[in-house]
Amino acid sequence: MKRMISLILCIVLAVIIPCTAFAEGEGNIDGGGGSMGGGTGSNFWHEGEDGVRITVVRISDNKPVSIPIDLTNSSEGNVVKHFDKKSKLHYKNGSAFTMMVLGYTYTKPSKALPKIISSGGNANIAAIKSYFTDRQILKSIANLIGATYDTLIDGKYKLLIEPVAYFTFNGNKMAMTATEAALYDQKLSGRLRSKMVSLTHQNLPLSMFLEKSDLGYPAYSGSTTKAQSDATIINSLGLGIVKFKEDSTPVPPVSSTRTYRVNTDVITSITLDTDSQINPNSPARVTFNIGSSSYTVTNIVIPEGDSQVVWVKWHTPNTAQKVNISISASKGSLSTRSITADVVSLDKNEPPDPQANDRNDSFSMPSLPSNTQITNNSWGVWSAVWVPKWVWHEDWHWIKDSSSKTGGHWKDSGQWVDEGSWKYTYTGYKAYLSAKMSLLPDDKVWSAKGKQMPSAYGVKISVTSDMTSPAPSSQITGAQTAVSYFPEFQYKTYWRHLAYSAGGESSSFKFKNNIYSTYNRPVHFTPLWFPDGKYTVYTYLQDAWTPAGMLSMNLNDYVTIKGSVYDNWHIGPKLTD
Amino acid sequence: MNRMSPKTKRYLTLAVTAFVSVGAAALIIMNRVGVEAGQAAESASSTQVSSEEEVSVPPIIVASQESKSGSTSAFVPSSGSSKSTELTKLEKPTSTPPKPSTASGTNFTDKTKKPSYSSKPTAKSKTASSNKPKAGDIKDGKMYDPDFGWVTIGGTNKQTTASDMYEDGVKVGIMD
Repeated sequence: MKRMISLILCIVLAVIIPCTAFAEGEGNIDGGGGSMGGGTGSNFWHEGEDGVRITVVRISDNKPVSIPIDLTNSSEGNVVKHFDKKSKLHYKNGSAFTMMVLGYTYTKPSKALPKIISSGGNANIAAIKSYFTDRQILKSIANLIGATYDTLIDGKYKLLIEPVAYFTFNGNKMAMTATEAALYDQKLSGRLRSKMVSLTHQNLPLSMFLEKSDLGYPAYSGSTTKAQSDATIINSLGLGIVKFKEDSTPVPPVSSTRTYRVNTDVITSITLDTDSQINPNSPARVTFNIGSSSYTVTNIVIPEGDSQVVWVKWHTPNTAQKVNISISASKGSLSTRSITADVVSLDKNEPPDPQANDRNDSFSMPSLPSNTQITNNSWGVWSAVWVPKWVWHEDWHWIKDSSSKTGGHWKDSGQWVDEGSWKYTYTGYKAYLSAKMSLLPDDKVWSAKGKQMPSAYGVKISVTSDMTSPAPSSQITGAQTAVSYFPEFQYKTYWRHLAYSAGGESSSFKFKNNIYSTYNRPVHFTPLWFPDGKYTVYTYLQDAWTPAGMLSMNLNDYVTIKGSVYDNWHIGPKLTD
Repeated sequence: MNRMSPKTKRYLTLAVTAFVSVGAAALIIMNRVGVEAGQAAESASSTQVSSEEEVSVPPIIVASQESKSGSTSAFVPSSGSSKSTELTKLEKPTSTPPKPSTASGTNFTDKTKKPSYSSKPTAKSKTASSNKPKAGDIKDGKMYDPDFGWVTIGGTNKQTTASDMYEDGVKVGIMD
């Protein structure tokens, strides 16, 4: 049976895998977008072989909540390799980048999709917008993803739309979004870009990008007429968003100010782009001037048209202040040349001394806050090795010899010349932040039962976190800051900056000793008036740094309040002699 | 001075040992009582809260203050300090292949005819192991990809048609 299946698969693959060698650039989009990047007979794309991938995203937490669907006008039954159905957000949230052979599913609309990939960037964007905001199109999309139309447009969801290209690479028909093309190119250390640059790094990613920041992706205002780097594509290209109500909170503009905490290891990074290769013969150098100190990163190499994230891991001052950082590079183009580091202290706003006569008759339980949560990210480092190609350059000379019958002989005084080239390799790294939080009655609460306790007693907290990454520790830090907020203050106004201890990239946190505690305990006192029920503490964990930015997590846990401290005490008559 | 008898010596040793043991036990008990008494006193005054009491808060430890190796610790900017680090190691091999040997022949002595190689000299390069699977090889329902390894074959491709996917002209979404 196994042999039969293998035989059938072999036959199917033999039929599907194209063997014909086509002329270079055949079917290219060329006409303003440039060539196929030195494409060969087994690397080509036909105009019109495009489509979109659609994913429903929940606004409350920016999470994809549907299995993505692919729409295309063309018949793509001969796709051999693809990367399964994952959206840009799936990859951002840590989904693995995996290849699949066959098993590709797609839908052909009855009314043709507008042209998605144009040679002039997002030239057809008006038609694309008109199509994907249309009621009947959205009804049909809702039907395909298994949701009702009313749910889809009720304002709680957005549609993430990504351009898809179908093309032949190394003789295999492939389907991929712009983000997947960039991830694939990183995996191949630039070999996709070297063959298909105009499609995969220019016209595909530039066919859709954001005019306003959304879903955690920035608005793009860079060049629309040249090929883009893998990092730029992954961070900000190849996506469109359909929403069904205006965003309630305006997205803050991108600022060159970065906020750090005092006395913390942080990583400040910038991106160095280049149009022409920067190779080891003359590598680039980037210098960060932090105040009157300087930190220089040397030996930076980048292939043509790509970019490299460059960073400095530094320790912030002990006191709150603004630190100016200026950046310069010996070659290439920097994403920014000046950063203002706003170093702030969180050791303020500790809750006041709780009193026995504190009251809050109008208290209503607030909802838990949700700050930016990024639990993983990725980055990489380009390196280059010389691949020699020794070529013998012959140089024949006639050597006179009077004693010889022929009067002399020919001698080759040639030499070997290395006509090799630099081969670039991209070493990708990922980092994952994980954490747990535990809230329990303090050990001194003798009347506590598990997580249940009377009000007015103290609670203790334990937060443990781990930073997991194969990257050298010079490229990451563990989480260093945890701040807890409390329901009696509506998770605002007062907070506790937790005491921190670290071991490698693991860290743990607890309350600092409470100055109002008779026993000097590391606790937070619940208010006497707090109603029976859940008392939930919210903690924001941050300052886990990577060259791709800071990782952070929202955490919470609760104790159950039942009764108050008064229930534990009894005033009664005492027998006298 | 008279020498002590062995019996007296034994009694004296026993007496000294007993005295030391009793003293040590008494010290331990007194200490414990002191702790408990102190705790009881603190407990008794637990309703009194004083914001003036002096409490030592343990210092916050930052990662860089941990015993990390010098190469991984963060750069600490201080007046005029500078540091340099390499992002990658750069190497370029410099070995040159040996000069090709030229076969001797009569044409080497014909002044009117400049010799040439019948085939271009090539430098020997390392050959890859032949045991490695080739791109496209199929085994156990998986196909080999040089960059992803053995990739699962997912079955046949499938196309569906959305017959109700057409524009009706009513725009309900917003696309910035």
